[in-house]
Amino acid sequence: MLSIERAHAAVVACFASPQALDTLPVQPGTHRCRVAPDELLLVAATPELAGVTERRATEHFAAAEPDALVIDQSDGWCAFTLRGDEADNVFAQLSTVPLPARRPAFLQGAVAGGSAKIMACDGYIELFVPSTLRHHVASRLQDVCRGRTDGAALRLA
Amino acid sequence: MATAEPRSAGASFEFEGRTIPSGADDTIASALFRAGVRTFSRSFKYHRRRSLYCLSGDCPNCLMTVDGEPAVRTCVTPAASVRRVARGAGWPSADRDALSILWRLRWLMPVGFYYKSMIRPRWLFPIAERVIRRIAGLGPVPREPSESAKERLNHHPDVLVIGGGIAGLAAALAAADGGERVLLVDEGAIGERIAPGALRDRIGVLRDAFARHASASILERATAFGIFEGPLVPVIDADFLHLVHPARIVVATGAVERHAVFPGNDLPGVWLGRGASRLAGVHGLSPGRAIVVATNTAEGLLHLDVLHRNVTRQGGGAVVAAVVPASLASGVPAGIEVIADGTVVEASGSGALRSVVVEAAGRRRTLRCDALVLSLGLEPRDGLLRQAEFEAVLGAGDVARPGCSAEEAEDDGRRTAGAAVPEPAAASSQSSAPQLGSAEGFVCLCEDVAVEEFEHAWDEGYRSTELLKRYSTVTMGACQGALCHAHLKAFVRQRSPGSWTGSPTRARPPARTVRLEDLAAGARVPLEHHTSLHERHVASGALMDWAGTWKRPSNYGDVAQEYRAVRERVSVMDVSTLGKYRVAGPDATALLEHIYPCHVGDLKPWRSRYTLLLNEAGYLLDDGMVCKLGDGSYYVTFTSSGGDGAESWLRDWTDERGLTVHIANVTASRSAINVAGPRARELLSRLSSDACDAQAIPYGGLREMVVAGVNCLVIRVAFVGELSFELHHASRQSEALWDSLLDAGREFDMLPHGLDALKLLRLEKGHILIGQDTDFDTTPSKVGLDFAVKMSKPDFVGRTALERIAKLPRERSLLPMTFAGARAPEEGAQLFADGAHVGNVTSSRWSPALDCGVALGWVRHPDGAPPSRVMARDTIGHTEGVVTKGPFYDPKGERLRA
Amino acid sequence: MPGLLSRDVHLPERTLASHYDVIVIGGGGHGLATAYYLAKDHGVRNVAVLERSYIGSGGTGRNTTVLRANYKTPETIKFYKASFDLYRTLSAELDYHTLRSERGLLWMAHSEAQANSQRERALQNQVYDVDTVYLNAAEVHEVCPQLDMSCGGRRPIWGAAYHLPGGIIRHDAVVWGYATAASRLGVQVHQGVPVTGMVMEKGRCTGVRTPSGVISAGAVVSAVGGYVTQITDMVGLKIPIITHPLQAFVTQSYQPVLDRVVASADLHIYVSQSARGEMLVGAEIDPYTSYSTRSTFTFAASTAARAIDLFPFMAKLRLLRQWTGICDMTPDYSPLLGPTPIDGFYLSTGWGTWGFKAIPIGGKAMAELVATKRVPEIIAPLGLDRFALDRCVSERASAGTH
Repeated sequence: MLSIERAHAAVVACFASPQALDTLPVQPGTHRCRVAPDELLLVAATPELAGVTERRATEHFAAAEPDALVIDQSDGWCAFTLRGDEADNVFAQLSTVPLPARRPAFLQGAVAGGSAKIMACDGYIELFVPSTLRHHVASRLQDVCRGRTDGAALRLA
Repeated sequence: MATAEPRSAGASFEFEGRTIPSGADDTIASALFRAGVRTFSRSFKYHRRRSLYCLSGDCPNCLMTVDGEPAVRTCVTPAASVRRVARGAGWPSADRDALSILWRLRWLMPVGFYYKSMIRPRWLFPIAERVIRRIAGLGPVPREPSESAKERLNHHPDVLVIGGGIAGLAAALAAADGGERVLLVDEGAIGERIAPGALRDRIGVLRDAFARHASASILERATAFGIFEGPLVPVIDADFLHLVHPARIVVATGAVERHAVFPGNDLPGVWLGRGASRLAGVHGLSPGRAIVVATNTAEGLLHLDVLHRNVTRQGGGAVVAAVVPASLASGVPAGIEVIADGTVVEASGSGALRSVVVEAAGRRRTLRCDALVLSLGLEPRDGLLRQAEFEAVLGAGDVARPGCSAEEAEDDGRRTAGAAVPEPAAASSQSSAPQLGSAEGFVCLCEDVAVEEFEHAWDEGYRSTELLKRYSTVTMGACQGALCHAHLKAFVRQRSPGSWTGSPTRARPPARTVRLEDLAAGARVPLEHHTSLHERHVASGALMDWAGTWKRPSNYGDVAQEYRAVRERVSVMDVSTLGKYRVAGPDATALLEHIYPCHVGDLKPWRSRYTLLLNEAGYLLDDGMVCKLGDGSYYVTFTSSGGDGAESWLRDWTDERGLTVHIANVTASRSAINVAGPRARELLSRLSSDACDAQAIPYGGLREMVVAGVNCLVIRVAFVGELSFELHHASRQSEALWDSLLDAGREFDMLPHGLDALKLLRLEKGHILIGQDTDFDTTPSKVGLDFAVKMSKPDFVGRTALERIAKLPRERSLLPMTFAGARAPEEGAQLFADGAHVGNVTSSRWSPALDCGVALGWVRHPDGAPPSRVMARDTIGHTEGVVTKGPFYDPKGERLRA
Repeated sequence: MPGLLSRDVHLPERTLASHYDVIVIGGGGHGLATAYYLAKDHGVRNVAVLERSYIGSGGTGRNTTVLRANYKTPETIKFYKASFDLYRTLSAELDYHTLRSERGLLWMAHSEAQANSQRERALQNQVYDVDTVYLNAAEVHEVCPQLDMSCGGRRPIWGAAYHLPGGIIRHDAVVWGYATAASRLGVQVHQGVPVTGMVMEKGRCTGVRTPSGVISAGAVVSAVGGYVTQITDMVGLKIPIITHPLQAFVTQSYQPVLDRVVASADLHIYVSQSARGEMLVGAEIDPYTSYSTRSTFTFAASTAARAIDLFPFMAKLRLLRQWTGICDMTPDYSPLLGPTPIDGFYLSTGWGTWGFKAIPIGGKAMAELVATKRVPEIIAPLGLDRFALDRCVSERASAGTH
């Protein structure tokens, strides 16, 4: 079984010193994805939550580290959610990044040729690709799902 | 000769006009053999008849065109679902090939003969080449186009085992028992090449035990063709291009029987032991009515046994003699003549084997026979293994210890599970290196190279394996050296023992040939970036074209109209492809001061500056803008093509200088629409209550505005030479903003404009396009951009170089020029001044504003000042031009500074 | 006919002497050609070529055998044209058949920018009597009907620069031909002899070190390709060379259908078919620096994809062999020839991906330089000093792949 959804992303990027990022309080409803020692992505469940998260993070750094940079990068990413027990296989057709057994896991690497951030969770995989590649990645997902008889559904928002 | 029916009836395929039946276990070759086909191909150089030999996909003899695809190895390809088979070379046919006369003319074609002939007269070779080309090749290129939809599939097992023989299965099982995730691949179906018996049964047991593990996977009819750095092992099967990324690899690809060299060794009827054994034991066919077996190994006796039982039982013939060492004589079944300690020295027959000559105890005997089966030792099939350089790769079984027994092979496989470090292969039970027989006898079946040619080449001075290989082309054919590499090495080592000259030739991928379409699986679709307005452009009928990896609108149907809209009224353009970055942090100013040749620190908030990007040699990499925001951070832009390189540039210099800078790539999350034209301000004021007059946003300034309900950072820009506002906004609102602009723009008869119009507009202003008007070594002063460089700055990237270059006379310049005739020159036109060739035109258009041609071109002037008049020669003719100064249109820049 | 049946020694084995008038380091095309012309044109026969492996083991034996003169600056057009003209009569000159075949070389344009670039190439070539014309799409199709003019539906062909004399040749034959002819004239070609150091006296280069001892020389020429900076390190000379791998592959042989040599800068690929029927395919340099000659899967996959875009008939053809060479790249993609600040030490390097086609002129000019101590005009613009003088000879658009 497999379903693929494309949706707008909800991502806030924080750039600050490693210590400041380490001590950023947990933002409810978000996943923390540490891209680099000085770069953190907060993946929110909804676009509204992204806005709230951006405000909260900005407030926090205004006090903790005024030089930090907080940007709502939701529009820079496009989210593809692969759900079902075939999700790992479909992912493996478009990326050489190994999916770890332990979930959830945050990974970075190329997917369908574009730089991507990957959240491997239990039962689903969330891919963040540059929003400029939204058509390209959707098209490649359709390519690799073509001819599947297990009822793969592609829903593109 | 061959009489047994296929084991189970069923399919058939067409072969050169005949219908050939095939059973479920048949390969194409076995089905053809059963139907009486004996000539399977014609050899490459001499067009000699070739027939089945190895039955393991290692020799070139069975290559045919299958379903339009040339050079298919029919001996390992199942016959089921095949429709059409034909032989490749041969004129008029493979059965009656007129070119077989080339064998009789071989004395005219010694090794390297083409290097020694046809030098004179000079018209001879072009004619000869045409003839050669007509008869060359293993088969015709396919006529039908192919549409392979194969994709990639990545695997990350702990262990990859290549080869599902006894050693490979033992290795796979041991690893799986140890808890590792194991992928086992075999290029055929496991066990299919082995005649029914103890070995085949054991393989079945191991396979079942392995398959019971949840973490075990098997891919059959899957060919691993290379071990690449990673390690990465690509494997092709019918469904996918599998890319395997194992932590360690076990190669158990086995061995090929030694190819013996003696006169007549390529005749139809000469078989390798394993091949004949498979033919009889698996396919139920007899290689001949009178079979001679020559072997010096225990394995060979097994083959002899298989043949003896199967062909005698079917009544299709008999093994008449066995040429074996005396020590193995007791293993020969009763009723077969034993020739002890004998050597096969010749095989003869006209077009097919009729007799062999065996030498024993100093005497020669001629044996009449129609099949000669040779099992004279093993050469490891180690092409894949030798490709590995420093990966964790172990060999197991015949590939590491050729000739080991089945028990030894199984042990070997098991041991790989525990081995931490690759052990050197133990001394094999193999006898010494192959002996090369007399001068005749083919060493290389693929390329028709005989021993005599080696000797000839050696005499001429080609005295290393590599030179001998290239000169004679041995090992360079389809078998990739499987049969002949050992002979090449042996030949050189006998003559130069211990020398570097006898090194094995480099093992290069692929170990098995691979279809290009399989290699390309999953790689056919290039990356294509779309802006947030892509759908809008397509919907309005724009002509979209590649700009780097982006798709952008070239025009919306009428370039002239788009141009006029910009010059006379107002127009909009999607410029979202610009590279855009937020740069912040304690050292942001220091970084930008270092990478830009202009001042940055003195920029006040809400002010911008045009910037160049130079490399350390002082050469132009890119251009763009730097904007200072209200909070003290920066917003910088680069050209669309320079965008990705710019990020590396920013980050590398940050790291290099140990700075703390936060760099966020907002190229995708921020889009930009350029509103340009004398009425731009009016348009904006229809959609915004924020002021945008010269006071609020002066030239060189920027401000935040809400336009049509969308928050925008509005930057005054200059590229097209009109009053222009670049609206940078969140990409999710692009379509709404664009729609509102077009809607409000109706009042002004507004059209959007694309790249075609842009190129003309910017050229009228004399603005350069990086990459089109610049070369890799363009300095700012050569293109009139000195104003963007402040040499008074103590340091910036490229400063030292520019200082040095400033002391040299300038010998080339990019100059603006006008052409008053009937047309502008073509881009690429060559420029002449005073009769001398001085340069070329890089940009050129007919300017509606000036009613003449305007161009930029490089002009060499090593003797001082550049010329004032030039002549441009293009494919149409030539035009006369005048070198001018500054922008063609609105030289004072009054329009864009409004 | 006598030549056909004879067994003359092409490559005699000699004993290393302790002194030569000229030592050439590097037994590739440029080294052997330099030695040949020293003997032939200038009577300098006391010459040794020292090759650390087998002759032609470097770039000369790994390239994709294309000959062309369609470059883009006045200096290089003259240079490569001179080489091309020498290639025309090379087989007769060396009495060794190099199997040169003129096929017509198409350099495709898939965009307006590329169309302008190729039109410029054609126009500039014509100024210097090099036979190149610009063809539109319909004309390209006529000249090469096997092309898919839409390139897989993705990058339609706009046109091409068509260089009529462009073609292919047997690269090993060029090596063996020069080695044989040079040996005939008394030059010694030593294989398996690496140079491990240089002998310097008072800032002058007076010889080389090898595992079998020191060999003194009146002059030393470095004609080494990708490893050149290892040699220049030995004399303490810094040169602006970085080394990149360059890969290629060949298919099995099939009945020849492709007559032309086809190159595409947009697709970074070029394709030809040998007389034996093998498709020979190359691309651009790998984007990282390395001395490794190990082939990669990425190259095979992406190049195969683009080959199929250009020539759909190639889809079912089978890859036979991949290989890799290393390229000594200069900043401006033009060669680096001439004297150096070190007395007695000369450079024939910076051959990047453009060295093979320049072997005859490179060898001839270097021989003249070493024998007469005067820089021949044809290589004067290509000296080491050009970078500091801001006189780069920029061929990045022309030399990109081959």
